[in-house]
Amino acid sequence: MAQDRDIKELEKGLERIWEIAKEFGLDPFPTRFEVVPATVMYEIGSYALPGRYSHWTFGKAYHRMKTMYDFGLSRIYEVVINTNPSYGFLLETNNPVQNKLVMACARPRRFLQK
Amino acid sequence: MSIERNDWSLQRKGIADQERHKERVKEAIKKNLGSIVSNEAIILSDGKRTVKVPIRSLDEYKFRFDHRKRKHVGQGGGKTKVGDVVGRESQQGQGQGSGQPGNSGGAEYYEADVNIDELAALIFEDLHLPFLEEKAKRAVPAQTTRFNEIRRTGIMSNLDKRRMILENIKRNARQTNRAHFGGVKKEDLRFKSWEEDKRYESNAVVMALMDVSGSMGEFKKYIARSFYFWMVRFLRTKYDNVEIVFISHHTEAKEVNEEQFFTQGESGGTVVSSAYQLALEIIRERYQPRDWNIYPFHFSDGDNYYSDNEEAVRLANELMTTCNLFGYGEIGEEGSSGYRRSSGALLSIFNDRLKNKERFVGVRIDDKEDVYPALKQFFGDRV
Repeated sequence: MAQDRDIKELEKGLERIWEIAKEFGLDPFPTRFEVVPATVMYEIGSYALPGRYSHWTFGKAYHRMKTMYDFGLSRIYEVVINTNPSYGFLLETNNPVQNKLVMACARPRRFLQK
Repeated sequence: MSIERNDWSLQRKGIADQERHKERVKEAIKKNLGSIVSNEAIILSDGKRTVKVPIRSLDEYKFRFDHRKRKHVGQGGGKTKVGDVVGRESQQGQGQGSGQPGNSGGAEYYEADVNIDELAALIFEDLHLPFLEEKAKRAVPAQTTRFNEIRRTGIMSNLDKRRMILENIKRNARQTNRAHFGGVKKEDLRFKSWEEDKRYESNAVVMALMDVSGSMGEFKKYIARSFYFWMVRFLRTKYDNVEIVFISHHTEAKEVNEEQFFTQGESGGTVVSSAYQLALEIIRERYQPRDWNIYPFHFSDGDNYYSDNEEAVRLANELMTTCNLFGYGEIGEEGSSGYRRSSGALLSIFNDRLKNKERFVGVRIDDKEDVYPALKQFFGDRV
């Protein structure tokens, strides 16, 4: 499957990103990245946290955001939960280059915590 | 550091909550049908597929902090002593009588995009033509042929080749343990067979009568038209075989086409009997009561020319002997609900003097919101 190949490529890219980050003297938290489909990505976006309780107001937000995405009007490239260890969610429909960029971008957020 | 992929295919939370929200919107629409039915946006939508419907009942409640209980700051002039007041909270609500525009925020409400067809389905849910009878000459039944059966015998032109090949392969597999196509025998043949579908429907004709005299102002015309807008839509969606005759009248009545009926404006006096006379003539010429269910509806402001009332009542009685239901809607002045004129208003005359009351429905409309109840009274279930 092409997507498994993508995952391998992302793993390679991730190692390289971490190396570069260390070279710059950054010390990012260990991070668990997950590639998720758009429905899950937008659920996290509209519920504001993964695994939040179920409520129709979230459904309303979800409907709006997901429709925007379906029509190509908006796109959530990444969601990062800044905890230690951190969680990063990558959109399945991004191509590997986009996702690498997203991973590389997610890490300097470490600055925000200092 | 890791990258994962999990199977999320069973995750339905977002979609489920989205459905719940839609359900709530639908409920809210159902509760507000009265104001939605007479909404300009819909009547004037010009065939657009969706309209925006304001929904005020879907509030999202949240906690708010009391502004006054927080610490506030003030600034002294430099020589401040203990006890000086350095700041005062601005006073809320400087409403200065009626003329001042308000400065408080308006209530936010949610606008739902609703498909007109969905809305129509909600409105028409429990409407139907009342007292519909089976008439002698039934409408030409809608005859359709449906190929819905497979048989082993039939004529060659109806051979179902696909099924025949399948049967042949199955038989070959059974007999030779090898699934292949070849050597078609008679028992492989399958034929399509059909059934004739007949749907009988009673003939019905609805006559839409509208007063377009000078006294029918913008508001009244709007009410009459929005009623007929929904009525025409309702008849066209629910019944295949309903004819609609449009008649508009001032001192004279004439039959018009649908477009004219919904757009034209006229002036002049009001002689209601002229419209009834024309309706009766049309019934006599084209729609024999023996063969047709007839439903005349008339919208007017009730301001009939006084010497015509006798004639109007007589003709209305005559109309009611020929038709299934006679509906009369009287439209009052905008916002004058509760106000009834003592004399001259046709509705009270009809109520007093018509003979066959159970086939008469009289409705008074004073407000846009009354259109939906009127629809329900004309076409709803009778108790």
